[in-house]
Amino acid sequence: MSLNQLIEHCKKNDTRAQSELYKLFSGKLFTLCLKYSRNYAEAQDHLQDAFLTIFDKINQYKYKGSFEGWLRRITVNTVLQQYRKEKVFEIAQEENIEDEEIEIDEDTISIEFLLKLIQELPDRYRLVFNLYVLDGYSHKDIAEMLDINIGTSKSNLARARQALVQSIEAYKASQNLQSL
Amino acid sequence: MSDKKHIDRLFQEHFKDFEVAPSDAVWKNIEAKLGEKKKKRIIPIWWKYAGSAAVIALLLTVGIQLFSTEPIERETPENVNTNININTPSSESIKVASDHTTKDEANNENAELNNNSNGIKSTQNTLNSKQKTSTPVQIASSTETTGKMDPHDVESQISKNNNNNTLLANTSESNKTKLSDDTEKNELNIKEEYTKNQNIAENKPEKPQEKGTNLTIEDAIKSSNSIAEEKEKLNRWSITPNVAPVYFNSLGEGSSLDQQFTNNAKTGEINMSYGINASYALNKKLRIRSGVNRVNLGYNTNNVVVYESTAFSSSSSTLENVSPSGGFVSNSSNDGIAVISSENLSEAGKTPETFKSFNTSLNQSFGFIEVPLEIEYTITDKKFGLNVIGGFSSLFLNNNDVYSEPVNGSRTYIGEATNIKDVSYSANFGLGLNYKVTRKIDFNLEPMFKYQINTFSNTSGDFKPYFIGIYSGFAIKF
Repeated sequence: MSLNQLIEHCKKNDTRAQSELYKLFSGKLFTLCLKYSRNYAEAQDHLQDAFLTIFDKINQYKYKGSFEGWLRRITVNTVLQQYRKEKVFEIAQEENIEDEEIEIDEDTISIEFLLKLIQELPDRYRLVFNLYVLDGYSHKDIAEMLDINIGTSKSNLARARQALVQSIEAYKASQNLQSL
Repeated sequence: MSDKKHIDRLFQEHFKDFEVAPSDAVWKNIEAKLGEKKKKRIIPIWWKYAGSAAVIALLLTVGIQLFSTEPIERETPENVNTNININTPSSESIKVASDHTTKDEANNENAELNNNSNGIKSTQNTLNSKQKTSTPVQIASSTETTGKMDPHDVESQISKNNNNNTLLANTSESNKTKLSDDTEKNELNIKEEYTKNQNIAENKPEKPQEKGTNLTIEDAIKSSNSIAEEKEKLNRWSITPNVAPVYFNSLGEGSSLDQQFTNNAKTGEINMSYGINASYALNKKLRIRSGVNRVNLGYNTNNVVVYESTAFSSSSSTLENVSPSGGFVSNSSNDGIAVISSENLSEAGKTPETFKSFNTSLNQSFGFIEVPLEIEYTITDKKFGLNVIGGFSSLFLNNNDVYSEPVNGSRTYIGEATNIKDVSYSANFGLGLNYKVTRKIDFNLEPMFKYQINTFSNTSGDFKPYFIGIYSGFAIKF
C-alpha cells in the first residue's frame, strides 16, 4: 500500500490503516516529542495527543507538501499548545544578551546525554533551541508560534546555547577528573 | 581545533539519525481513545440530522406564519372591500382627470365620475358612518342634485352619467357632444360639482390615507380579535398513548446472523409496539412530537438445520454473530448446538451426529426503547384530518435473543446476537389519519414506515432492516 493510499484509508477512519501509519511515523515523531518535552513520560503523552490530532485532522491534509512535514508540524504544535496551556511562555521579559560564538570539544558525547541536556533546559529555552537549531524555524516563525518577540527568541536561543555549553563543559570536566 | 564545533552543529549532527521508538502502551492508549471517539460520534451525527430537521421546521413555521398573515388581513370585514371599491373609481377619476388636457373634458369626467361614485354610494347600503363622514362633499353634491331633481331623475341621471362615463372611457370626443345634449341644469350641476370635485381632488391625496388609517385601526382590532380567537381554539399540546402492530423485515436479501443464511427464506414477524407520544403544535399546520415507545421486532430465518454436536468444534458451525450465553441456559445440552443452513448442508458434506430437527427456523427477536422525534404536517384538518409525518427515532436496545424454532417443537434459546448496536436510529415516514371524536379527543391511525440505520454491524448480503407499524391511539388535546 502506498503512503497516499494509507492516508486515504486513515481519512476513512480505518483502524488498521491508522495502526499502520502509527508504525511508520511513531519513531520519528516520538524523537521529536522527546526533544521538545521535559522527560520521557511527557514525550509519550505528547506523542499520544499528536497522533490523536493527526487522525482527527487527516482529512485536512490535501497532499500539499510532504506528509512527514505535515505530521511534524502537527506534533510540534501539539506540544506548544500544551505548554501554552501551562503558560510556559509567559516568562517575565528579560534583557537581551549577545549571541557569542560558542564552540566546544566534541568527544564521546552520547546522544542520550545530549537529549538529557535539552530536556533539562528551561521550557522556553528548550523550545526555541529545538525550533531554531534542530527544526530550522526562523526567529520570525518562532516569535509567532510562541507569541513572543523576535528579540526574545534570539535571546532565549543564546541563553539555551550558553546553558548547553556550560553543561557540556561541566560534564567534560567531571569526565577528565574521573580519568585522572 | 577540528574537534571544536559550534554547539548547533554538534546537536544537529547527533540528532540527524536519532530515532527512538515509543512504548507499545502509547498506541494502546491512542487506539482506545480513537474507539471512544467513534462511539461518541454516533450521537452527534444524529443530532446533526435532528438539528437540520429542527431548522427546517423552524423555517417552515416562519414561512407559514408569514404567508398566513396575508390571508388574515384579507379576510377582515367586508366593509373594507366595499370601501376600497368606492375609493378606486374616485382615485381613478383623479388619474383620468390629470391625463386629460382640456378643462371641459376634465370637468365632465370628474363630474360624471363623481356622480357615478354617488350612484354607487346610494346603491350600497352597507356603508359605515366613517365613509360617509369622510366624503362629505360627495354627499353634499348628491343631496344637491337630489334637491333639484326627484329621485327617479337622479337615478336616470346616474345611469346617463354611467353611460357617458363608459363612453368617455372609449371616446372623449363623442362625450362632448353627449354632454352638450344634456340639460342646462345638468350642466350647471356638473359645473358646481366640478368645483366641488376639484376640492375633493385636492383633498383626495389625504383622504384615502385617512380612510386607510381609520380602517386599519378597525382592521387591526378585528384581526387581533380573530387571532386571539384562533389562539384560543388551537390546542397546542396533545398526548397520545398508542399501540401498534409492527412488522419487521429486510428490504434486501441478507442476514444479520451469519453469512450462510444470506439466501435463506426469511419471514418477518408481527410484534407489538406501545408507548406514549406528546406533541406540540408550532402553528395550525405543523406539530412537533416526541415520546417513548417500546417496540419488539423479530424475524425468522427458515430452512435451517439445528443439531447437537459434540464432534464439531463450536467454531466451525456456530453462528458468526451470535454468542451462546451459557449462564442463561440451564440445559447443558445446548452448549453443543450447531446451526447450519440446509442449503449448505449437502455442499458442506458434514454429517452431523444427531439432528435435533430438520427444517427448523431461527428466530431472532430484539426489542428497543424507541424515542422518536417527528414533525407532523397537516394537509386537511376537518372532522377527518390527514397529515404527513417524518422524522427520526433513536432506538435503545433492551432485548436481544436468538432462538431455534422447529416446525413442531419447542423453542430453544441459542444465544444473543453480538452485532446489534446498543443505540441505533431509524428514519421514519408515515401518514396520519385522525378523526375528531370530540373537541378535545382525536382518534389517530398512523401507518408508519421506519427504515433502520446503523442497527446491525457485520451483516452479510444486502440486509436492510425496516419495520412497518400501524399506530393507533387517542390524542388528548389541551
